Amino acid sequence: MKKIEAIIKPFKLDEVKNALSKLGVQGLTAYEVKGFGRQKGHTEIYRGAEYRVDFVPKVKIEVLVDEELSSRVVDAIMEAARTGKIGDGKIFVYPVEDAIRIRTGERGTDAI
Amino acid sequence: MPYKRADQAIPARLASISERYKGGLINLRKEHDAAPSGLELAQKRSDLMDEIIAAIFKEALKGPGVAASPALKGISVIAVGGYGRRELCPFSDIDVMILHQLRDSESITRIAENLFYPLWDLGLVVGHGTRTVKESLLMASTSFEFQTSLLEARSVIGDPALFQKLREGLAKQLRSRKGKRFLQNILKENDRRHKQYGQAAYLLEPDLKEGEGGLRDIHAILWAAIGLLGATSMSDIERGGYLTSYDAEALKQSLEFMLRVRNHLHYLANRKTDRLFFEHQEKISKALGFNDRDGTRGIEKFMRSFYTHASAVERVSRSFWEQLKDEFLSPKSFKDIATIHAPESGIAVHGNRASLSSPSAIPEHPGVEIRLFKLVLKQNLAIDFKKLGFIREGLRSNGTPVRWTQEIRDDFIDILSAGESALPILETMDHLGLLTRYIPEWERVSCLPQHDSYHLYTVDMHLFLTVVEIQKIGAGSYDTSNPLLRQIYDEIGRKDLLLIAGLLHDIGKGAGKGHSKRGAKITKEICARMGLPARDTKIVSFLVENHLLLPDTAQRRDLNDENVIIDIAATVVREDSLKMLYLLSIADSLATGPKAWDTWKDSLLRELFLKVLHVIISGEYTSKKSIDRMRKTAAKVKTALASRYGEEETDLFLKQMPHSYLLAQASDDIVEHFEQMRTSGDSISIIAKQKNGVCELTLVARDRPGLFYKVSGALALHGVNILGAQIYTRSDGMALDIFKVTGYFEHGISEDKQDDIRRDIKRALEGKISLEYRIAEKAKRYLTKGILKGTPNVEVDNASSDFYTIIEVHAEDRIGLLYSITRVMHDLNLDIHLAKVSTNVDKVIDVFYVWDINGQKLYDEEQINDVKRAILMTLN
Repeated sequence: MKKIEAIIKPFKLDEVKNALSKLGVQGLTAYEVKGFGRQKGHTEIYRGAEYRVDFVPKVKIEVLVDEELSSRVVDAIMEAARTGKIGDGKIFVYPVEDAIRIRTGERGTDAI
Repeated sequence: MPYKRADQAIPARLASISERYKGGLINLRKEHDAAPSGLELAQKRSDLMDEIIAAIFKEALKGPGVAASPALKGISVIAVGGYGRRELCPFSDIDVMILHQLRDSESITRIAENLFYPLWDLGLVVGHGTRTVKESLLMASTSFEFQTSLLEARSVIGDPALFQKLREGLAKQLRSRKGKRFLQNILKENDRRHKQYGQAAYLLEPDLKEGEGGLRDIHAILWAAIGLLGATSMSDIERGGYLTSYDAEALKQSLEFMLRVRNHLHYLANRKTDRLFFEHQEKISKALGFNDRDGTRGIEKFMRSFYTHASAVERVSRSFWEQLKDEFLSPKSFKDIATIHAPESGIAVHGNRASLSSPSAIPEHPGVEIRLFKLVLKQNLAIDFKKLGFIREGLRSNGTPVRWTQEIRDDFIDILSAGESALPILETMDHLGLLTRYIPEWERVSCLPQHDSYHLYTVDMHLFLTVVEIQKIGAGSYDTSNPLLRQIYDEIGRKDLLLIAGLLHDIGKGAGKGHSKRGAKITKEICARMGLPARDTKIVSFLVENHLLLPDTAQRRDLNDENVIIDIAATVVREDSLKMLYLLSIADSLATGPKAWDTWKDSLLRELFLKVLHVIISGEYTSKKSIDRMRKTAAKVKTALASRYGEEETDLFLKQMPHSYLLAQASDDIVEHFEQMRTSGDSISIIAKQKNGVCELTLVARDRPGLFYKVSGALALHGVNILGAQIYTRSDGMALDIFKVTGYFEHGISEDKQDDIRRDIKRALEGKISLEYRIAEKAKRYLTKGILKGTPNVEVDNASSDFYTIIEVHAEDRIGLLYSITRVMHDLNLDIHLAKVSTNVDKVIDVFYVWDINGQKLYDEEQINDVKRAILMTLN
């Protein structure tokens, strides 16, 4: 099992979600986050006064998938989230030791 | 304390009592399923409990370890709390107390055990206690909760004299000077409860017991009536003049309804619970006979009934407590103010309480009820709840549809502008049906639930809160989180229009999808009736129609796509409208619930707002002329292309090209560009064309580093003079460069030369020729035309565009000038997205819209200075 975590542009969430559900991914957790990487935020100007915005709003998603689906999920996120411009985000893949569905006690891939 | 039974064997008689109890429960359930009733079943359940407790108690007295006592003398079982009130729902706690005056503590302990253990064995949650009258009274004097639970106590079985003693003691306790304290305690407890559980009348998942407008509010009225007024029932309170018969009836009906709901809720949850979660609402509505009909869902009808009852309780309670405060808590001197003055005809003020002078004030002075509420807010008066009936009666007698006048409208807007203090006034107006009188369309959103996890309140409350939030923004409540908001509020010219839009923005809800559009239509009618001038009506309905435009765009569209921003700007057009729309969006979110607003959404929305604002202020895309031109051009291009290439491909092309392109190019040219880009695919394509004696070269190629400088260089190599250039980049990375050129010595450029140029551009892009070397050679052979050299100048402008850093270069023309400038830019890793090059006689003005290597504006001061210096160096 893998946990796939991706930081994406907020407006790409729907596209990514649709791409994943096409692959049969059933669950997804999304967080509204802020941060910066190479994309360094921007300066907002109102009536001559400048407001520096350092942290850029992004969406972080997490999905848990079967080992074999992992690379296809990564590809799907990459394709759906890409605009080709700065700030498209990053994808991280982690190994997962176990998963348990609380209601039934099912473990491992059954719990995904 | 560990639960340890004195006697393990359950006597047969107890077993049969238990059977009787279980049989009783089954019957109650059957009755409920057949015809759910509220109070009747609650009382029957209480009666069943009485029977069981009496039976167990008789056994308890006979149990082991109990000294023989004259049966039922000096001991009594008292029902307290809800059980005392004979109001038990399936999983209500059973609060009982053993009241006694026995000295034999061993026997008391045994009796208590013998009574309470079997009750626990029946699975009941029993609140229990064993006290003497004296102990009870002492505890009541220190614990408010215990005191109120005793108010409705009654004797289930046992010595009646003992209970009578407790009653008298309690009455004495309350009648002494502590009455005032008792009232204060109730009010304090009400406040705490309402703060913790919120308003049942407006919350989408309300608490039907503890919330404001819930059962507890009815109980609290009864406590006060028993404790302070010597009344024991709703009818007593009515007779005492503290409730109108209308209000007393409303309370009775609400009590009946809520108990019915609570009974079923307990059955559904299979435990004690008071919160009406979404998951239960559907089932309860069906069980209580609210069915889907005529497009209205049963669950919606059910919740509307619930809200109507809860708001009745809320309204009646407020009026009741106001009266009691007047009577018990107001300073003497204040109470004695008997002078009634009439600040305006039809309105009477008594002390600080304002009311209509009589029901006939309404037909006599149209709009007087609105003026009354305005006066209350303006002069900080209180509403005389006792006389609210005047309004209801007056409205009833005044059958004609209400006509708005300028004065009524002004008063109404004054109320809307009052901020948080307007909230109870608006609620009262809503409860009285006053809003519906003036705005008949309000009927549909009044008490209307919304079924999502996002909203917290019913539509009417949400609308009130939006109005309040607008005013709070203006009052600076959000200065710390976003100081921009108040500044923008201050700049808005017509706050009244914003407030009306706030009140009406969701008026289209309750009839399926598309509430914004529908709401805009309804708003037009309402505003016209209000007598607003046409242009104001237009603004308000525009705001209603587009109240989701900014939040939806902020979260679902790419804010770094200039086209997205320009489209919004072209929709909104006016700076003032944009500001109103921005504040309306924020107030709307703030009024929705804690989940709808946070700094994350705030930053996205602010970014969008500022970008759109800058586009509007620059006016480039939002003048009527520009908008018309862009629309006309797009339409012409579509007619020309759609039939040949399909609508989809045409639309995509128009979407991918920057709007500045649509604004600058003629539709015929655009059609040609489209076809050139379509046929060239990924290869480089160059088309030359003579136009008004000038040669126009159109190059299409995939954008790549240095594209522009290499093309300019290849042109310089052939002695071509660049009069103008426009470069555009399609969002998928295709570059379209249009050069207007002449020969250095002759006007036209021959066909042969065109071929040579084409060949060398391709070779230059492939890196097969050294532009640097060849141009240096070439430059030696050309004289600089200008005799007087002006000083070249380079400006870097970061303020005019939110998307690009703009570099403006002024210089004397010379061969290879554009090549030199753009080559420097390439060396500095600048990506030219858009360029406008123009040559006027010998003067060149070149404007470049650039990004850094990461596709962002240049923010690094040092980098900006280096760009300037490097370009200047190459110019000298």
